[in-house]
Amino acid sequence: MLRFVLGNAERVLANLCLAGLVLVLALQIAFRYGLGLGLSWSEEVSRFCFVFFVYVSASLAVQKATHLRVSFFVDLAPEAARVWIRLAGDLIWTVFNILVVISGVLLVERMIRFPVYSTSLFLPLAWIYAVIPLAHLLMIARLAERYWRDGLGEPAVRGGKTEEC
Amino acid sequence: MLIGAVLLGCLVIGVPIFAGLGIAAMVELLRSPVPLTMVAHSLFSGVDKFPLLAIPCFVLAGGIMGRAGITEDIVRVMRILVGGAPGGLAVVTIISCMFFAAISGSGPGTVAAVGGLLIPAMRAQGYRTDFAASVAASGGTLGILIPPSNPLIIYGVLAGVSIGDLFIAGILPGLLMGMLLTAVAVLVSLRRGYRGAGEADGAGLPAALRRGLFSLLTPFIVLGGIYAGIVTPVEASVIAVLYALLVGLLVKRTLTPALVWEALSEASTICGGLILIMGTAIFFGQFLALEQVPQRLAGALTRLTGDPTVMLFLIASFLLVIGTFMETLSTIIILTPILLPLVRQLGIDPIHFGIILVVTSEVGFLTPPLGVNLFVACNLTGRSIEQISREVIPFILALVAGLVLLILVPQIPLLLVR
Repeated sequence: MLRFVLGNAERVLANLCLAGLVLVLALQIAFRYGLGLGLSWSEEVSRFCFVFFVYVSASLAVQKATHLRVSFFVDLAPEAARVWIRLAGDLIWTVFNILVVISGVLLVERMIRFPVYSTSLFLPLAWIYAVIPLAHLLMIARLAERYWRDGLGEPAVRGGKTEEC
Repeated sequence: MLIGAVLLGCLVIGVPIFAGLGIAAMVELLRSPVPLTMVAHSLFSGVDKFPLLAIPCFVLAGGIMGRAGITEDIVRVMRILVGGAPGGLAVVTIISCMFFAAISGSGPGTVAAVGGLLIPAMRAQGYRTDFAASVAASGGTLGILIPPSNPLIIYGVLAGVSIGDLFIAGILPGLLMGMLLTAVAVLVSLRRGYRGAGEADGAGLPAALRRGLFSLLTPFIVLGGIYAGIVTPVEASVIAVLYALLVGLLVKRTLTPALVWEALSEASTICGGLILIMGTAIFFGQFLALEQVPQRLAGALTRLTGDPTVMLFLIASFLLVIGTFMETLSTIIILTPILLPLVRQLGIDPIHFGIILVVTSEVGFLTPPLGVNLFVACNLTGRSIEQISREVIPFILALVAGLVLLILVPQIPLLLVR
């Protein structure tokens, strides 16, 4: 059970956010074109679902090693060097994420001290913005997990290099 | 200039694109009096943009449609309609791609959906595997030109251009490219003696039409509202999801909750590595603008030439080179804010420019080392990039010919707009 939660948390959460935003927008469409009523809150809720979706699924993408990167030049390097180049790249990535986490914590803390509310539902924005530091922390954890599991070798990429655009 | 150097360095050593953009801007931020909290703020507001919601919805709709068997219905009808022509199945593949492109906003997604069905069929009739794969890979590029289109949504958000207008501008170029690709498929087939499948008698047509009626209606349901100006692209994307669910669950009864969940997971994985790039790109763009990089670039380039057409050719050639090793959406995210001031200064219509950007991305889908459509076609056939890319060359030439035409005749994309 715990293993399932740890292994699939982002996937389940991202799927629910996506399903949620589709549902809210479906309601909005039904109200607008069916009943001729505009919902005041639907756009805001769907947008927040979307931001959560984006950053939670970003952590899922770390887990699946599907973040977009330019692999062309790295592949030109000799095998032995590639490991270290990849490690350097991931370290730079980690440094960026740490700075984002600090920045996010500072921002959220300020928003708790001087509360800011969303325009239509008056939700405290601190809780919504918290997804930024949380998700970036989660990404660091997933990256560390991957190194823990695979060592310095090539991350196991599922199904092709990049999937979509 | 430091900001650009850091970004390039990061991209070359394979830092994920979102983090590369982020760290480059971060270096500037730490040297400036701007407070650190700005990062988290930009990452949130860069993604908190309503039109972007259409992207996961269109991806999800495509995933559900594939699982519901809507693609099979489309292909069945197309086989009866055009399967008898020389190179019949190749033509069927491209026309089916055009049809699917009017449902999906993604290139590789279109290759997977249509190629998955038709590459095996072509092989069974004696088409060379590499040719079959390259037909599907090139037909799939139409996924991003014929609306809906994920790159056009991103471009519209970044450039502040109406996404509905961009979608409408994609129609005629999409049809043009479809015809060019079809012509290449027919020419190659004639030379190699690939014949039609003899299904053009139309005997099974009424039955196939009846069976596939709801599937065939999909593009009209999804896009009709946008063309009529009634619904926004986001609403259209949600309608696409709902319609796919309706057809799959109630009409065809091919969908199960497990399949819907699978489609959700697929959409989450695909979007996960992608949309967050918007966040750091906005952050990056703010520092780029602070340093006046786009303006300086525009100044330098306009001294080179002041002619809009020549400039478009220059930009297009540059993008074709970039497209060989960069993924297309990230290219658009990075380059739109840099190139747009230049484009506006020369009086080029931003809608026209958006279409040019997307057409160069189409070629980028097909050019190794990084051609995402080729990867999908490789996965479908088990052939290598090198083997397939030889057969794909005539199709690339056709797309480039179309690109030249679109640069010279801006009326083709702009005719239907407004």
